[in-house]
Formats: sequence, structure tokens, C-alpha cells
Amino acid sequence: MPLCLLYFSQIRDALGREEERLDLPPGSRVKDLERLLGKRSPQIAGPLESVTFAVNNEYVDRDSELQDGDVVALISPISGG
Amino acid sequence: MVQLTREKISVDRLLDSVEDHNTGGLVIFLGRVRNHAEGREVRAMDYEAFDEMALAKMEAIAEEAGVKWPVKKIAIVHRTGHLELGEVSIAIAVACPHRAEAFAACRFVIDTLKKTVPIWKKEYFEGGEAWVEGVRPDL
Repeated sequence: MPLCLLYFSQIRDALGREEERLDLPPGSRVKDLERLLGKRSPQIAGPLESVTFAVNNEYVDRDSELQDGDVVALISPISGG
Repeated sequence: MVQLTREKISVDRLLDSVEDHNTGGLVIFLGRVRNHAEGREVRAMDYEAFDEMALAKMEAIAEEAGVKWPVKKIAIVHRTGHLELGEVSIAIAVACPHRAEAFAACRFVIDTLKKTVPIWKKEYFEGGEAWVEGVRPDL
């Protein structure tokens, strides 16, 4: 199941890229993606804990099931205004 | 009018966009780069947005303000990129028939924007730079 991941601010800086494609097994949830990313990229394991995930431009909780082709953005705590 | 812009925000253009002779109360909020944060001297700021989602969230806030108050015209403009001290990062204009509802709606827009719109800022200070510790967005 292909996903498009988008990174911003400190997560982007830590990973050194703005986006990537990732394949996850069908039925995967946001928390599965989080676990996989933390394991693969330990430098973001800490920051991941305070990330809110957005799927197709809507914030979701970690139990949400991901769908084929979802665009998943990792939103660190925000500071606009 | 809902916009993200890398250019300096023009307050004149903001005012033009909320021109409406049915409104007697026009409230404007400008947020600008301040020279200190948490005891540190700030020299400049970078703003970064997840453009597509930020615009969608800003549109949703404008719409919600219009459901809660009799908003006739509304403008929300957020700047991104590098800003120097005193430069305007966010400009909001709300035009309503009367002032009380215009004040309330404008307050709602800036407060909700800070809690929901995916935008980040990085501070530049003596000896370094750092992403500002923000707030977890409301779901």
C-alpha cells in the first residue's frame, strides 16, 4: 500500500528531506507508520511523540487506518500567527 | 480573501478586500515579529507553512466565523519566508454590521488559527536559530 509522506520544520531538518514514498501493509494504522519511522530514523523518535498526523489535509488520531495512496503529513507542534 | 504570501503584506490591499457599505464595524489584527521571546533577544524569524492544508484550514476558519457571527467580509493573510523585526506575519480583517461582533470574530480567527493551522516559525537570535516550541494542533 503506497503512501506519500510529507515532512516540515524540525522533522524535515532531521530527516534531510521534504517527502518520500513508503509502502505499508494494507490495514496499517497511523501508529504502525509512527513505529516504523521511529525505528528506521531514530533521530526523529523523540520529536515523533509530539507530532500530530494529518491525512489528506485533515488531522487524524493514531488509531486511524491508512488507505492506499494517502498523503500523510507529520505536523510538529505549530507556531503560526 | 484567504492567502499565504511570501511578499510583504499590504494593509491597504487587505482593507480594499473587505470594503462593504453594509458594515459599520471593521476590526483589523496585525501580528508582527517581536524582538524577544522567552528571555531571548530575537533578530528575525522564518515562517514555513504546509501550504495546501494551511489554506484549507484558514478557509474553514473564515467559514466558521461567518456561521458564528454576521461576518460580511473577511480577509486572512499569513506571510511565509524570512521576516525582520516589526514585519507583519499575519493580518486579519473582519467587517460586520456592528463592532462587537467584528471584535469577537477577529479574536476567534487569530485564536483558532494559532491552534489549528500548520505553520511553523524559526527564531534567529544571538548565536543561533531554533524552531519555536509550538502547540499541538486541535484535532
